[in-house]
Amino acid sequence: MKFCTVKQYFDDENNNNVTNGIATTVIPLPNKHLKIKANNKEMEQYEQELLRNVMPQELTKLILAANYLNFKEALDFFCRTVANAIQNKSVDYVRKFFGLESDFEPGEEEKLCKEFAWSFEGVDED
Amino acid sequence: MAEMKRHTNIDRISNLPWDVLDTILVHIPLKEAVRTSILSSKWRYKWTGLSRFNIDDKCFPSYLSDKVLRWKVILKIIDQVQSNHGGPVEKFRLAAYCMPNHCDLDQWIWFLTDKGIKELILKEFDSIKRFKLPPEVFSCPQLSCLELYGCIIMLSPTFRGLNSLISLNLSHIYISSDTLESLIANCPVLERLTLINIDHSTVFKISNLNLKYLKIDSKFEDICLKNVPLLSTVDIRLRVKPRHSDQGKACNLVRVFGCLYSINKLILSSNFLEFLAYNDVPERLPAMLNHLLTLDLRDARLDSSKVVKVLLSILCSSPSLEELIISVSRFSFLDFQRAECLVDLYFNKLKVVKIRGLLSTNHECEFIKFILAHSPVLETITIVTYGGEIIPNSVLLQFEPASEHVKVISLRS
Repeated sequence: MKFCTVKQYFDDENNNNVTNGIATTVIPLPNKHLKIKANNKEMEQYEQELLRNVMPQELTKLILAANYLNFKEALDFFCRTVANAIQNKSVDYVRKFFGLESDFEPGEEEKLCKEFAWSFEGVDED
Repeated sequence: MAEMKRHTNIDRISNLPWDVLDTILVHIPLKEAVRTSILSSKWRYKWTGLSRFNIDDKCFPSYLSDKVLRWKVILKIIDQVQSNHGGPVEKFRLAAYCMPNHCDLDQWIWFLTDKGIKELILKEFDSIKRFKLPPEVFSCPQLSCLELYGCIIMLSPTFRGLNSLISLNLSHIYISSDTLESLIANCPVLERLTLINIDHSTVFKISNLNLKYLKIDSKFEDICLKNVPLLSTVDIRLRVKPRHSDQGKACNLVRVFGCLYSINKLILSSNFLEFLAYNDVPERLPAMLNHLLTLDLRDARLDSSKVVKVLLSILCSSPSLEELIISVSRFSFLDFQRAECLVDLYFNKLKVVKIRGLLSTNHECEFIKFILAHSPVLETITIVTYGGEIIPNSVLLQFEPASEHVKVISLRS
């Protein structure tokens, strides 16, 4: 049921969303997920391992793959992994993680920082 | 030119589909989601489109302790969301120490009702001036979970019911008996109902064909459970001493629980047991509670023979009972030994017994002896005595338990 789109993907020559490498990571996931669904601790360990071995670029590609394949559990899992990775991190860290550039006018960024000053407590040092 | 192209290629997040971004951002605390507005100009207002907003004390820095100032911060958040939000808002939770301006809160709730809210949790702690919940909340077609603390609830005359409401939790709420009855009866898919410290309702009339879980911890004068065929767990604590009911009325135990055939778990506390004991308690209920698996009596004053009668009546009507938990505040099984109905009463499915609060008197030992002798498949019995001595296992094992493998655990608190 989950894999009807996988067949379609393999038949579809023109797909830009998923490369072969990503597919090999996503597809074994349902089995892994079912196996360790019951055990939360194991899941956390698997998550940590995944983060270590996978670069941020890979992570977003995995997300796109899971989204394209309509694989909800994997999508949730990858999104949570990203959320955990950026939690409590400084703005610069998050920018680097996602490959974003600050394109604000010189004074704009300071103004925003002031406006949201209340949200800046407790951020990790980089 | 080529270098600029390289830069835009690296951005691996901003162009993800919005529902994917939303899935990521709802997993981080709201205050961090708000911080994303500083990432880049594209991200300036992305956070305002979130589908879930959870405002609790963790949103605020520790130096911000003034109630009014905290509301000002919340107001900034909800103003920005109202100005920029595109799609639906699924969940809003406000559980922060603050002093909401009722006007602002009104407007925000209207906004949420427009946005197809599914889960609304409001815990406003300023109970001096209770918040009048806009009646529009009760016409939200997709509302599936409603949790309110410290509000005044009034339904509009056009109230038709909440067709998607599955869970309703009302705490420290001001609502009349009739309004509450109407609300409960008109939620066709309601499964869980929790009522804590309800004001201005003297009688709880609960009628709902789908209700599975009921918890009440409040003062009330009477309770009526009618047409609740799926009710599986009932947990009731009466906060005041029950008043003497009229003579000639049926026994409260029979009136309230007589028709609850599908009950699996019953948790009854102190004053409510006394309430149930009013008027002649029969030896057993008119119909057996064939599905009752767990009976949990809390703060039971078992020195009153009426309350003991309630316990015995339930026990005699529960052939499938697997777990019996009694936490006692006073215990004296006075008429116990003389009860004839107990001679042939065997708990053929009873596996676990826990009794707390004993003072290791003779009467209590008699009860334990009775349980041990009448429970052929009992696996464990845990006895906790308060003050005094623990009942030594050697004494307990002398009671000739009917179950060969019973494990007796005797503790002292």
